[in-house]
Amino acid sequence: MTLSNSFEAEELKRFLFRELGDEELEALEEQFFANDELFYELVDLENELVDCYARNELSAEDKQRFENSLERVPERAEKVANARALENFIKKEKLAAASALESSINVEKQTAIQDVDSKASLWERISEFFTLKMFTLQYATAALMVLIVAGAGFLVYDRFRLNRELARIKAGQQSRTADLERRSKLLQEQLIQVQQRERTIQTELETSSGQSDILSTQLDRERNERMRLEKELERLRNEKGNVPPLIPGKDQNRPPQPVIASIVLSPSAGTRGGGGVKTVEIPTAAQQITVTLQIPRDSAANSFDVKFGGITVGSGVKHAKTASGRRYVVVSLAAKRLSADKNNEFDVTGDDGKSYKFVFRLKKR
Amino acid sequence: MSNLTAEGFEKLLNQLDDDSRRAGEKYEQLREKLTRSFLWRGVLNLHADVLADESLDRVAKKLTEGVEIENISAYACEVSRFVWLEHTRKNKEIPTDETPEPAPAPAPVDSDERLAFLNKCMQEVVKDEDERRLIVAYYDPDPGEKIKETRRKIAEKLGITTNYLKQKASRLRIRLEKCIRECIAEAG
Repeated sequence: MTLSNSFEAEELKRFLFRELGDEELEALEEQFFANDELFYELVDLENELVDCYARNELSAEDKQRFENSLERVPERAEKVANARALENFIKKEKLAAASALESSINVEKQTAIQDVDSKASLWERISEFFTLKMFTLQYATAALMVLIVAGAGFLVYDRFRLNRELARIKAGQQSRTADLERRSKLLQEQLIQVQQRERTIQTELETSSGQSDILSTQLDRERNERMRLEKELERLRNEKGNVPPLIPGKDQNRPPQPVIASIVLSPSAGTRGGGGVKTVEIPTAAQQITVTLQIPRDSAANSFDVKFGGITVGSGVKHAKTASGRRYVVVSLAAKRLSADKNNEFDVTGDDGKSYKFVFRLKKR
Repeated sequence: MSNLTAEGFEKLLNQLDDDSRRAGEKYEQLREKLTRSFLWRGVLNLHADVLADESLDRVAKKLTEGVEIENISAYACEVSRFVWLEHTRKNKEIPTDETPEPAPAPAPVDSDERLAFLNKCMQEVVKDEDERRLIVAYYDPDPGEKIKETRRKIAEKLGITTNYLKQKASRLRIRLEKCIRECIAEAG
């Protein structure tokens, strides 16, 4: 029951329940005849009371008052019956509306589902499209990956190859450098030896007599050899670029060079050509001895075998010739093989069968 | 049974409103007030309509007699009291009916038949689907304590005041009840 509890509403209820006196009733009648709003307020209130009574929603007091009014307003019972009919009608109407709404919703749902289906179909098409695209992309990606892997592999291989090539080149360069260094060192050593021989020959030339021609020739040859070696060394320096120039006595890292002594011998006495035993002075530090052996003029041989102490130190050695036509052969041997205590002998046998003996004494200074 | 003449009816309408359409509406509204007032005084439906017409006839007759009536509604209210008193007095003259009109049992129709009449009347009386929806919404028994709020929303949705909504719903219900009464009478 939602009726207002205001005094006005209560007065209206009293009117409807026939609880007003004649004067109050007539006063209210005059009011609702003059006021449409009040009249329909009364009509509406009566309908509400009837409906609530039909639904058994009135309070006990109002229900009693309502039932009391039924005796004074006999047609109200008919209104109650109509109210029940109206309530049933409304319930059915709402049920039908709900059913229609449900159907409508179902239709809308179905439509929505169809829409969704159609959208799903669209999505499927899109999905298929993208699936195809994806497959294509996947293939493309796979191909790209293969290319990338292959490219990476090639790059790795190429890098490896280049590194290997570089290493080979570096190794070659190192090898070449080492070779150049080795050759340079060798040339330096040879140059030093030549320079020492040159100095020895120069000394020999200054102190010897009768052998100046050979010594001069030998000196020239040594000088030529020195020049050749210097040129060769210069070429190597240019080629290598880092071969240190040879500055004797200044290069502390230079390996100790062997001290080379050079001696010139003529056939000893007792042999063909005769002559006494010659004493040869060599530096105490001399490690290597270069021996120039003069070949007698009668020899017709072109090459010679040279033995020292019975041991061959040169075989088939070609003779050299001075500008004046004197011939000689040069051999080299370790200084330690020479004896300072006794005679040292070289046996030279030409390919013409003739032999010559060179005897000398060694003196270290 | 009505003694209303064409001249008297025309004078009454002219007195109610210069516009004939609005005059007709006011006439119907006045008649409804008269009928309701008789019913609330305990007059049966069968008699309430007759007494309402009698009241209007008397008002119209006064107009044709040249009586100046400033307020037709108020005058009709005064007339209706005399009509009701006459009706009461007449009923009291019947020896077996000393009390006001006996409270009759509802018309002898079962609920299904009444519902069928209501359905029929909904087709005949209710003009369109909007009025049908209005009946259902306005008298929906479910809203409970929120009925005033529900009716405010209905009025707001229809673009009318709650008072006018109340008026429309009440008129529709009156028409439906009258239709059902006629259906029952025809069926009986």
